[in-house]
Amino acid sequence: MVTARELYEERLNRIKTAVALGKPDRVPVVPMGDSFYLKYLRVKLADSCTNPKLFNEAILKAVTSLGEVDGIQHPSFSVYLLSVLWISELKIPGRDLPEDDLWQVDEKELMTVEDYDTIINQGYKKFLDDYYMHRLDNLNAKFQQFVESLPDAIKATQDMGIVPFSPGITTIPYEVFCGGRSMSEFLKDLFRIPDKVQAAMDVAIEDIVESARQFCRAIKPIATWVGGWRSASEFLSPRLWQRFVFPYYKKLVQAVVDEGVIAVLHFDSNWTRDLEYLRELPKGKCVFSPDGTTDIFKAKEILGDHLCIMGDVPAALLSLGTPDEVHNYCRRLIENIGPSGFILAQGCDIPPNAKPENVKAMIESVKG
Amino acid sequence: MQAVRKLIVSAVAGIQEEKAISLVRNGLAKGIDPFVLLEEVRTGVEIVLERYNRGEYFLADVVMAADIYKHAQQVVLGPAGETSSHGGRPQVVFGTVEKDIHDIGKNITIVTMRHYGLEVLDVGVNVPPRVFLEKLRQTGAPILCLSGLISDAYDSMKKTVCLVKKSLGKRRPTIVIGGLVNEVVCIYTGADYWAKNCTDGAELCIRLLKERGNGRCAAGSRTAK
Repeated sequence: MVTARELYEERLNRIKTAVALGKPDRVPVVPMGDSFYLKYLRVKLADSCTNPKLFNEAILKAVTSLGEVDGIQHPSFSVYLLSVLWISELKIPGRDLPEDDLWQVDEKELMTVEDYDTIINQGYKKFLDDYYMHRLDNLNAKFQQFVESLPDAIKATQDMGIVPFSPGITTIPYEVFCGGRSMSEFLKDLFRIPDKVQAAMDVAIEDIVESARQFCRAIKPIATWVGGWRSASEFLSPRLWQRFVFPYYKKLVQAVVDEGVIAVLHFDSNWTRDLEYLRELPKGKCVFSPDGTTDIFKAKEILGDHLCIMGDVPAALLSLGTPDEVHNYCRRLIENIGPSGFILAQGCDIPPNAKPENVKAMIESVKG
Repeated sequence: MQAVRKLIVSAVAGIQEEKAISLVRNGLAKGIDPFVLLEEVRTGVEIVLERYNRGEYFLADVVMAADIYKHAQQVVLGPAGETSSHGGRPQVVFGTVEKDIHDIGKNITIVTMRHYGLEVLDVGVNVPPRVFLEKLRQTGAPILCLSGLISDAYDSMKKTVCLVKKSLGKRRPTIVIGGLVNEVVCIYTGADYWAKNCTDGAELCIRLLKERGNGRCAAGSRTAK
């Protein structure tokens, strides 16, 4: 009988082979479905979304009953993670929303233009500490609970023979500022006060890189997300994207890779225009993970010999499609994007209203 | 005079806010009709939207161009002038559906629609089906636009479409959805059309209003864009 440890090693090897652009014995499947898992188990979103231990238990229970996965992207989750990423308030089920409604980022203009000056003159850490305390109701304390829960969540996942693939999330200053300023205001800042925004970004990226390094050293994850949402190519001209987005990804990805950790480019929305730039990232050390909006076949064409690709079963297919349709889409991915350098997963996140039989079909599809 | 007007168009089309606003101020000082100046700004915005449609410009450019227009409007008409053009009877009732609080897509599309001359009633985010119905009854608007960026929005859209169809029958508006949607979602929700971005949505509404001729769209076509 295969032990959990042996199973873990076999699956880890499968995933690492794919990341290194090799051909594993079969394409690995590494899903993520934070809110879906809770809905599937009929666990109230309100009870788990601020309790990472409960969340970890729910993820493991759900995922093991849905099929045989090689890994999971997040072994645990807390909604406060979203608050940290976009320095924004949240609408939380059970507090601001009915107990089973999905949490959402409540985007408003919480960060001011003057805050750029504070970052430039007093440093990013000082700005952030103050912002968390006074504008986000002592967010740091709430977030710490999640960070402290990670080692146990990672171990519990490994003990079941499942790879806790990418337990952390980091991102570039653009995403943080965009969330804090609100998207419309931030985009206007890029036109009206570009030098000031860039100066603040240059200060912030140093601290973000250092935090990412510390996280990698403390947790020793296999991979970590370097996420991109509002910085997608489809929202910005090449001129702005090349100035405010890509240089910062390059720096952050390099720092993560230097720590021996795989960088998962969890990139939502459409990045097709700028795929060529991603070839400047370290070869065989990153995973490009589009959400179903970027043309994944184009991504294979441009990046296939440089970065592993993970994805991208679309949310709408998982919610509204049939198991046969999901199976056929997955097989198309496995055969055309794989079998080398490919990991099967949903695009972005399995939506809360996905049909369980569709998620099962996705997981099962790697077997043929 | 003609030169100033041309320069305004080109500054707005090039997303050069300071230049555009300074030209508008110069124009006012030279005695050019304020509405003529504003019309040139609007032409510039239209060029921005055309370039966006052709994939030469991006969301950030549209957001900025819309704000240049707003800024110019304030310079020309004063702060009060900004809202005066939207007081008429709305042709479009527009909101983000229940359970979803995203507003960026909705806001940008509404700004785009208003630039195209449509009268739009913005009913906000997380809007329950009965509120949409109430607003449609109050206004008699021929088009209902529903926005949603999370998959929970599909069911809210479906509920809204069902309620509107059931309650208004043949008098119902044409229903367009946008956001995280596609043809499958359009069929699932029972909406008449889906739009892939802000200009697509605005142009679709204009086309629907023209087809209707007398101001009411031909409802019932299930053809998704």
